[in-house]
Amino acid sequence: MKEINFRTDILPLKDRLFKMSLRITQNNEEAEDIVQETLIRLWNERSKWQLISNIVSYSMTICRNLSLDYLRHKENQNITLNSSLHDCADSMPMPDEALQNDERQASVAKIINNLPEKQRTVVQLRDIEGMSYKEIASILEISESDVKVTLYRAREVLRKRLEIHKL
Amino acid sequence: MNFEYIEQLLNRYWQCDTTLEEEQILRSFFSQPDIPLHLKQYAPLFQYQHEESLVKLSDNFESRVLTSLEDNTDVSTRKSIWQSLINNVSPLFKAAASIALIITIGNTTEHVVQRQAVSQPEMSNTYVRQENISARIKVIDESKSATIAQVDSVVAGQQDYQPTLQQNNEIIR
Repeated sequence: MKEINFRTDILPLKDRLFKMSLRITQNNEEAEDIVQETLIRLWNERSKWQLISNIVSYSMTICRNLSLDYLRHKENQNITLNSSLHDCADSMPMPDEALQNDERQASVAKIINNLPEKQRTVVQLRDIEGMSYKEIASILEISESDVKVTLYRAREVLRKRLEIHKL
Repeated sequence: MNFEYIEQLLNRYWQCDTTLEEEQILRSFFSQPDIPLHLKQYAPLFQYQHEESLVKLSDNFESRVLTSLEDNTDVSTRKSIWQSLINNVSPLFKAAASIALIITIGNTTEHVVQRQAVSQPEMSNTYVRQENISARIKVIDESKSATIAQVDSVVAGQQDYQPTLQQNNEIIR
């Protein structure tokens, strides 16, 4: 098995970890802190690296679990998530094509961010990160068919919303 | 451009039957400016997917993480030093604790024994007095018998004198 190097194998995952954490937490600062904590944990577990079959999935799983911890903590504190990031989009004027396009994308972001956590994470990993069903199943610790069902439900919501509103 | 192919891909996309490569073809198709009207409604989804894939962490993030890792290593090294120190010293603490326990048990036992001895003083005093009395009685008895012996010896002495007197009378005669 190839020896794992922190700088070349783990550190380059930072953006992918960040994007997933941001999708789950919907909070920039928190997502950054979570990625940092994930990397520190991975570094502290360096003696176990050789026992890990897939360091990418392993890192992503740690990051997702930390992000879920944050969500649970927020729920306990009864603080609602910042899902209003793009709320203003609906009321904005549409002076030109570019702005209109931005607004349409913002609406898509809103639809995805309002999906249940599992669905939006699967969408993030498949449609934005371009990961295989096998990798996603490994990260979420569920079966591949479960990943497919979850993704199907999410895409179904997106398709219906896109067709109804003709964004 | 063959829109039929795109429509077919799109249908398979909604059914989750497309490969990663086919999904990339859809993203490329929807990123171009000339999209037929009947497909335009889906464009923002694929454009958003592409835009989101470009999101990155702030530039100084990597250096911040590496610095915090160094600090973290320092902390863990310090922790391990303390740990080894505690591990080395702990047998001494255990020994000291054992000795303290033995001393405590010893003292407690001694105290209990002393208390038991104090709770029976009269009995022992009576016993001592009885012993004294019997000793005195013994002494008295001894002195009594000694006196008797003396009297006896005096009487015997008087008896001894009588033959002497008789001898003296015979001499005088």
